[in-house]
Amino acid sequence: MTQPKLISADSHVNEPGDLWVERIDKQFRERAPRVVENPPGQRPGAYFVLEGIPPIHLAQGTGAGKKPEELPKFFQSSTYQDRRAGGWDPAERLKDMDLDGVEADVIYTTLEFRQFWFTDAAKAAWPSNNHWTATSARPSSAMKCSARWSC
Amino acid sequence: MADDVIISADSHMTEPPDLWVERIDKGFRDRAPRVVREHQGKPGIWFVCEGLEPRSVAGTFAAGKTPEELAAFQKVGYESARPGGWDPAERVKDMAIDGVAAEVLYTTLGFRLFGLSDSPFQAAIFRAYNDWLAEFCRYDPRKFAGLALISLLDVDEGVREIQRCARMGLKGAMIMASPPEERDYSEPLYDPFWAAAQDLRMPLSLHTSTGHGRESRYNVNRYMRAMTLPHETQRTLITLIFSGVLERFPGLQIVSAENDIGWIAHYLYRADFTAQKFRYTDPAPIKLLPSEYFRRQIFATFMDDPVGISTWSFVGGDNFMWASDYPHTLATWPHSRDVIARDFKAVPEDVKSKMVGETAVKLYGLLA
Repeated sequence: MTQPKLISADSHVNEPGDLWVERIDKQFRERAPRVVENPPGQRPGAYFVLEGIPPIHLAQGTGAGKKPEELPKFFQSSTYQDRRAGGWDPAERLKDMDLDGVEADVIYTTLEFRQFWFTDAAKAAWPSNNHWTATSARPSSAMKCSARWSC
Repeated sequence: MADDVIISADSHMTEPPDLWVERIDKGFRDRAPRVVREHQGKPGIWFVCEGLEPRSVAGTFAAGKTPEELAAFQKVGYESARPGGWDPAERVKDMAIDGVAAEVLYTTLGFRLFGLSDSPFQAAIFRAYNDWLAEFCRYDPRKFAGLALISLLDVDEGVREIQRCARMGLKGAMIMASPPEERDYSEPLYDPFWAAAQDLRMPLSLHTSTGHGRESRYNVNRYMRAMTLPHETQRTLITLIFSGVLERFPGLQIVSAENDIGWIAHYLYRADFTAQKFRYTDPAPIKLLPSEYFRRQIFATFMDDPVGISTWSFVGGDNFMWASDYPHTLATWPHSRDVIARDFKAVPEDVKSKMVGETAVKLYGLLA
């Protein structure tokens, strides 16, 4: 008997730290949200920086598979790029899904959560993420992705 | 305890309209909370107190009214209330009608008074109520466990008052379900009060509608309010557990009153999961799992919550206490035994006995 299919109805992307710097409409580029490693005045780690609010420590958004005792070091010493590439690389994502026996993912944002608070720059940022998520889900090397990912 | 004894762990008083005008310290008499007929042109009977929005009182004694009768009942006065709300002899008769052997007695008009920010004024109001309640309970201390109202805007005053109330025979105390934001229950300033309640073995109740949060206000949408009522107590329990209050005061007992119980199993699952996951990144000053503190020190009342009853095996059968809510609108009176028979069909008899009576008997020393 075959194993029943597992489908995760709520998984997440980890957006590249420069997603909005690269893709947001030009008039918002200087204000674009971005990921900054170890900004001054903060405890170590990667932060999501948005204008108008204190930097957001990106602790819990990338710790899948870590044991409780591993989390403090992981949160403080790893860089954003050290984290599981499945967060932004669709080919790597498929490998991680295979490790977990998950057939398909429904994909939610991570960094956009706090941007729902904003009025202008955030709305300008959304098309960037929407475009990036859609294209990430259609890598030419893995045709099955379009069937396995719901964006 | 006989097998068929049931105890209401959360029933209410109907305070006489002139209670505070008659009894409050003279210096506050002009400002005493009172009941008035019509308020700013609105018909009905209103409870008014400076600094608080007026509250219509008819709904507070509408036990036994059907939904279609409630609209007309909103306009009635105390002549339509059951005297059992303030007369202990009449109260015992109403308990007999419902087959209830003993009751834990909570305030009614005092709910919103917890929202006052004038500390001496609130303390004077509460002292007057506590005197009146203690007199009521003396009619039959085996059947009545009265809960004092304690102001914690001044913690020293709170300590003095709970000690005075214990001497008067009251069995527990209500404190604000959620404190003002700048006076969080994690603050050490409350420690003398936690210690006093622990020493006196007086359980502290967090009743719905008695906090400083928006959930306790009456001038909001009825359905939004009805559906969010437990939120204040949920926040406070997080504070009492994760800030280490229950760790430091292992004999302190807390009662969640009229917040239902269906949410508790999931709440404790999530609390344990969170405590374990982040015990290295954000260590809390606790040694046990949150669910272990709950089982040791927290109790919860419910009236008509069959979903919650069905979760008893997740939480343990020792912490839930059935209540009638007499004489309020949501009361199961006078059909409490029918409701219990309907809702406990799938619950083992020994667990049912604890939930409908034994736990309340132990917690408050009733029927002794």
